[in-house]
Amino acid sequence: MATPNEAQINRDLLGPLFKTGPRYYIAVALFGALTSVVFIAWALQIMFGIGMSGKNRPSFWGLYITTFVFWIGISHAGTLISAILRVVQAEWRRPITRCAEAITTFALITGSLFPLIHLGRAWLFYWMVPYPNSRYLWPNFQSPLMWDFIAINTYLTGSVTYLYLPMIPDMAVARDKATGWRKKMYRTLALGWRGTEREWVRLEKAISIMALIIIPVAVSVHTIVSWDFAMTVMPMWHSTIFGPYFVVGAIFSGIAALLIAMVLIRKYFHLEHYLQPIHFDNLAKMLFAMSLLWFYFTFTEYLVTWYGNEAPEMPVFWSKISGRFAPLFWLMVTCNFLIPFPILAIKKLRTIPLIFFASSCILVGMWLERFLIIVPTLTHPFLPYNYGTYWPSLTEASIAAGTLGLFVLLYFLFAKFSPMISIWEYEEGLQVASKHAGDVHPGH
Amino acid sequence: MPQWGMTVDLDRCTGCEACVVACHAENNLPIVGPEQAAMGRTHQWIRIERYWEGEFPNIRARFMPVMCQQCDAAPCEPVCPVNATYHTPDGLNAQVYNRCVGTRFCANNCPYTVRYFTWFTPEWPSPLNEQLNPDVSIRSSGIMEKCTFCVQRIRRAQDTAKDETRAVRDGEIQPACAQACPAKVLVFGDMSDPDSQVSQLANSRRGYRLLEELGTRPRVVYLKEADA
Amino acid sequence: MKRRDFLKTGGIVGTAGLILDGCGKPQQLIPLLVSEDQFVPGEEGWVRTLCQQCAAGCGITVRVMQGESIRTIDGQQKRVKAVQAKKIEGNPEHPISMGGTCARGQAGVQALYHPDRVQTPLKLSGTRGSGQYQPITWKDAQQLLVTQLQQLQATPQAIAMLTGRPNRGTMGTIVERFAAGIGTTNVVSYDPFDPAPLRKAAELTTGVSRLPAVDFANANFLLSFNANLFETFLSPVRNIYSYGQFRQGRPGIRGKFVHAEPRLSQTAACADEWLPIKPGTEGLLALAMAHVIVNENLHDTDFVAQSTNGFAEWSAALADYAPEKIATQIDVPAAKIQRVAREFAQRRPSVAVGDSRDVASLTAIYALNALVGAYGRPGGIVFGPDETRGPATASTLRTESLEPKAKAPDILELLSAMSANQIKALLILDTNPVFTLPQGDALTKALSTVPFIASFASFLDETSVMADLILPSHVTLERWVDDVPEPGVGFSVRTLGQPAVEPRWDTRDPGDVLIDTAKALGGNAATAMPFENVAAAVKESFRSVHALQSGSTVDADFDAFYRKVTAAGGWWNAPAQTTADAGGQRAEGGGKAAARFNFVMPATPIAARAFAGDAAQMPFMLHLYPSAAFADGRVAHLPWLQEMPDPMTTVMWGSWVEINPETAHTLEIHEGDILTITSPQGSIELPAFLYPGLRPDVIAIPVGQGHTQYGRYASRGVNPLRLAGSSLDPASGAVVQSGVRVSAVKTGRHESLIRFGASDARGHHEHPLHR
Ligand SMILES: Nc1nc2c(c(=O)[nH]1)N[C@H]1C(S)=C(S)[C@@H](COP(=O)(O)OP(=O)(O)OC[C@H]3O[C@@H](n4cnc5c(=O)[nH]c(N)nc54)[C@H](O)[C@@H]3O)O[C@H]1N2
Ligand SMILES: Nc1nc2c(c(=O)[nH]1)N[C@H]1C(S)=C(S)[C@@H](COP(=O)(O)OP(=O)(O)OC[C@H]3O[C@@H](n4cnc5c(=O)[nH]c(N)nc54)[C@H](O)[C@@H]3O)O[C@H]1N2
Ligand code: SF4
Ligand code: SF4
Ligand code: SF4
Ligand code: SF4
Ligand code: SF4
Ligand SMILES: [Mo]
Repeated sequence: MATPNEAQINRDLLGPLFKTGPRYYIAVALFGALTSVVFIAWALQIMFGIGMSGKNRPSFWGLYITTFVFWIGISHAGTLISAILRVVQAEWRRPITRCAEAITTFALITGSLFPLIHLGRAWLFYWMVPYPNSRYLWPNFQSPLMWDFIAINTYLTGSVTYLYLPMIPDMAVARDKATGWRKKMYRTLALGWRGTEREWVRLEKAISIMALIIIPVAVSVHTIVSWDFAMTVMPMWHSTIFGPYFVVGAIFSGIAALLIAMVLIRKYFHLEHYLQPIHFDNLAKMLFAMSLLWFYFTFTEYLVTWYGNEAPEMPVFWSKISGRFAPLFWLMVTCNFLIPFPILAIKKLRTIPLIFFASSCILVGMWLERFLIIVPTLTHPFLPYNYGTYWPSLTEASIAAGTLGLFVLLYFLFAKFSPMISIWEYEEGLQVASKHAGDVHPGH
Repeated sequence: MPQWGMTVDLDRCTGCEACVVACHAENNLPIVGPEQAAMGRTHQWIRIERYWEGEFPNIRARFMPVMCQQCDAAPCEPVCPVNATYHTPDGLNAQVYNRCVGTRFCANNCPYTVRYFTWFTPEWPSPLNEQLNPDVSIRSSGIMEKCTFCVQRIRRAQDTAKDETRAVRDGEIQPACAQACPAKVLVFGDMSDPDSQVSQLANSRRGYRLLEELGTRPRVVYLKEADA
Repeated sequence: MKRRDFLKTGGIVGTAGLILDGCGKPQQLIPLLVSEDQFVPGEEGWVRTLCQQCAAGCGITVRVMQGESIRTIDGQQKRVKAVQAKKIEGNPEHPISMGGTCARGQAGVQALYHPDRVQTPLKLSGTRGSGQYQPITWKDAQQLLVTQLQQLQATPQAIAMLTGRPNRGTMGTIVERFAAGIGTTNVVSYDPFDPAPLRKAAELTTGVSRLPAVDFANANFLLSFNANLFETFLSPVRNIYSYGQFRQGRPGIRGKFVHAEPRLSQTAACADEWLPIKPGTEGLLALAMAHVIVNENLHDTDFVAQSTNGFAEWSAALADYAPEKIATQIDVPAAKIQRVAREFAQRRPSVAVGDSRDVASLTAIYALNALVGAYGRPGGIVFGPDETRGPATASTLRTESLEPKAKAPDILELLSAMSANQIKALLILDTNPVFTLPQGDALTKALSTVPFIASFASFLDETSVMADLILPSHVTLERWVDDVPEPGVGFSVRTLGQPAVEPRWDTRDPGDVLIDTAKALGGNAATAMPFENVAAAVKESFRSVHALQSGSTVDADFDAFYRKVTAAGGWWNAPAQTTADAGGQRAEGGGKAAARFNFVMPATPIAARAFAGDAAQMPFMLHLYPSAAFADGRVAHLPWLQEMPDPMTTVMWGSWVEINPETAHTLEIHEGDILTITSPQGSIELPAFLYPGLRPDVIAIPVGQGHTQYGRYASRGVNPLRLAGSSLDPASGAVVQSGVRVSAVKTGRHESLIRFGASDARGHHEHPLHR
């Protein structure tokens, strides 16, 4: 396969921005409809009360927080992976950074809707914002939810910046091609980029700094999300390894989400030249490592609980291993380990379709993992008289499922707005590759 | 500053649930109806936990009244993002209804599962509303609530005592559950006064605290079944 | 006297009866008025009265406050200021309640403000049972009643009155006098859990036809046979109070409690030991224990020698009841019977209490008390003065000529009389037999043949929907009431209750309606009713206790005395000691202990109760028990009680059938599986509850749910009384439910029980209870 030249690259990568087929509109309509389900259901829930969800005492949290943690996990796809790969100067990162970073941003936006959706009085969400007021009312900075709030906002700001910085030269390319209001828009977003040496140096520096900053932020975000649970006294929540366990789970599901996005983008935007099997193979190896790590953490967590045999923890433990939640638990193990392990371990099986399949399983498995962390503990509190059950309601399920629509919709709209592969980074990669002959070339 | 506390004499309790209904009556607890009750959404600020022990024919059942334990180190408090649940200087775990945004985090972190959430706007078909106690706020939809140790009664008694320029007398304050209980299971009073009835009972060798190993330092002391 | 002074001297504040309508025109309302300047919104007041949610007779205190109420005045919705009842507490000075209440008592205020109360007099506009009525005025309603009764003046026996457990206060006198005045002896009272057998057994053994008061607060050992002390048995609040004292009220003494019953009831759950006896073998168990005690000479020989009759023959007859002989019938190991019997005899003061429909079994249980000398001693059976109708009633109001001449019929006789068209007019007061009588359907049919039925119901229930005329009653908190609790506490108690609030709706006191009707009828009826109204009659009834010039209130001036009694919620003559001790006076005031105890062994040997039905097809014995929340169903309309978790099953808003988990396992029955329960009398369908504390050969169902009328909250669950038969018990003269066998078959359908507590809540060794 021939290496594409600059003109071809511009055409291929900018093409989707300016050419829109009917399939795109159908998809946008479909995911738009799914998104509107979220907002209709939410409106009803606000109107009638949070009781529209299936939650109860003792299961005060359910699908919303599960899906919240899930999306925040997905958000680790991008920024973190792209930053790590940038910092270690992994050349094969170049075609995937943009789609990865976009996932982060949209998963964060989608995910951070849930703490609002889940509030009993959602219209008062801003009380969690520390803003000056005449009553000297401040939020409680001791609460992990406040840390969440701050961490997620920081991560979102960081991620948007980190997504945006490398977009500047591409915005300039788009500016040069676009007409009308879009030209105006791209001109504004390009910040007057002219491509001078000084601009390039500064951009590279800024990106490098952001990459360094975003790594600890990303790690902290999911650590803090884990503390929503680990900081409590509840059986099987109060665990010291929840921080790293959640971060590993987040990166695990993040890579899976990234792989899925890459497969779809590659197929529907015809970017087979750019997203090549080597990229999938490398990411799949990372996914394999995360699957092993995930299994290790899960195994440790459950082994220690079982061996410790503490009275309040055992009912939660057994409800997952052999009780009411066992089918979900073993499905989770299957999805997160038993299926991905051979597919990702055996070179022959690491094909794009199978990687896609394994990644899809992992997303299901990781969603289940969050559900199985939240609900079994809540339904088995300390005093056995208060054991309960939980069934999500239609409202709840529509909202949780509908946010998939929101995420995809945002992603689709973004694909119309920005090249999904960073043009300049890709081109830079080609130059680097030709300088270091013998390096693995993206196009073999 | 008095430090309020309560003792629960398990040896006296018959599980009759007069306390349960009394709390409903005093504290404007909503009735949610069968459909919501089936979903686990009733409000019982005090509940009588019933535990089976043994197998037929050598079986027993035991009753344990459980209300908010007014923990000195209350796990529900630090997790609230808006400070809607906090500690009063006299040792109550207080709930500010109009500050609560309904995250339900506090309920998740209460080891005693004594927090109850208002899932929908409560209704009292007229004229049932005429019974509502004006001393206690009606909680609107989306708010967390729980046993307050009948704070309205505490404050009323304190006001009366202040008007009469005297201290609140031991036994003067009776939460609704304690007042209703025919068996005198529940004794309320000032734990910081070593001579109060509640202190004496709490310090008896029958006293223990529920899940005290969690370090929550509850203000409710249970008295186990044993010779006095 | 000025009203304001009245309040001050009465020691109660602000039961204001001032209603200001929209035009500011003050309407004065009974009972207690305060001047306008004393009207402070939000100000609280306390009114003492009587709880009538069950027949125990607890004195209560009602918290009232002035507030706003939306009322319809002259056809317009108006906001008015009104005194409102907020909360019911026990009356701390009242010897029965001792400041406590039960759950049902707490809910009394919801009867007052129930949205489905009958608000005005109603005249039937649809067919009977349809519940279609049109509002009429009290004047028309009263006229209608008078006209109907006038038509029957020549044949007064065609008029019948149907009531619940006879009222022990002035209201009882009014009913009795009304009937006597119009010339009918057909005053029928029916109560599905009539304590008549207990009263009869007391009469046979002690000569006192009254429910015995058990002072177990001061006992060291309590032995209970079937008595659901803490749910519904006679005086639950007093029982629960006593239990608290019994366990932890006496330094250094902790009473021991053994309870025998086929089902581990809430009461049994409190016991140190539960004896799961076969249904209907309580008498056998008592005799087996008596055998042990007498055989081993463990009885109180002094008491038996000095204060009893017939011990020799009786103890000789015990030979047939040796534990070894009858243990299998009872299904409790003989060794266990012996051990408990010895402990009962040795850990004196001990006392036995029993509930049974069988008089002979009860005499056996009472005999155990005689064996341990429990009669008339602290921690035993105590007696008070005979005041079932109040001293004043007997002495000043009742006249010989009005004493009923014939025995009142029972409800089954009334049923056949109605079916035979002998009853032309029926007045129903304070009872709902269509719901509570096992033959309720037959009763409905019989009622439909009665030409005129008037009901004094506050709610349209299954019986009152058969009425042509509804004369809606005040609820307790709106009435003047008086009462003499039975069982009492060993000294005189007269409870007095005043209206806590003005009537919420256009209702009346049924006593006032009867008084006015009697006056309108004229003649004998009018003469028999020498009262102005109920309030005056109640007041008059206190003259005799006033005359005693002793007890809790003493004042030379009767009006002053009555004010104080009103404020206190009654009058009682407790001995000088603290009340708990006072319970145990051997003889006090007018209350003489039974002169002697008679050991009576029935002519036919006591046997296990018979259960109708073929054991092969109907393998289970049916155990019906009044539910803790609803008793016989009379309070099933109150939402607080519907949402109160059942203490044992934690079920809310429904009813269920209890089955032993092992039995359920063999029949592959799971919780919530709907079972068809069939008895010889009929069949019902109910969801199953696997009840670990139930004999495998028994099926238990709570009574109280299954209303088809009675307001929006009551139509839950199934009424199991239909499964039982009922018949006249010749020994006690009461209509009691008969024992039946049942089968339980899965329907294949499922209905999840609405539960508050988890199904698998078991204590285990790590459990906090065991710390
Ligand atoms: N849960 C909860 N508690 C709160 C608040 C809240 O929002 N939620 N808000 C707080 C705030 S901001 C405030 S200001 C306080 C208010 O609390 P309080 O000062 O207790 O206010 P009120 O209960 O309105 O009035 C007190 C009493 O004054 C009486 N009164 C009325 N007029 C007069 C008069 O002319 N003379 C006299 N001597 N008495 C009169 C009333 O009958 C009443 O009994 O509550 C505070 N407490
Ligand atoms: N009907 C009636 N009116 C009254 C009174 C009364 O008793 N009854 N009392 C009078 C008195 S004394 C007072 S002080 C005033 C008080 O009147 P308001 O100032 O209206 O007092 P609240 O209703 O207690 O609280 C105001 C709002 O603050 C919200 N809130 C809580 N936390 C926060 C936060 O962090 N940020 C923001 N922005 N809002 C928050 C609450 O939900 C509530 O909606 O009312 C006066 N008016
Ligand atoms: S009222 Fe008293 S005896 Fe009854 S359940 Fe409550 S605490 Fe126990
Ligand atoms: S019992 Fe629960 S709600 Fe009450 S103070 Fe303790 S943790 Fe908080
Ligand atoms: S539910 Fe209310 S009180 Fe509880 S943590 Fe959330 S905001 Fe605070
Ligand atoms: S102390 Fe008051 S609020 Fe708490 S359970 Fe008792 S009655 Fe309810
Ligand atoms: S036992 Fe309960 S229902 Fe009966 S009179 Fe007493 S308080 Fe009322
Ligand atoms: Mo205020």
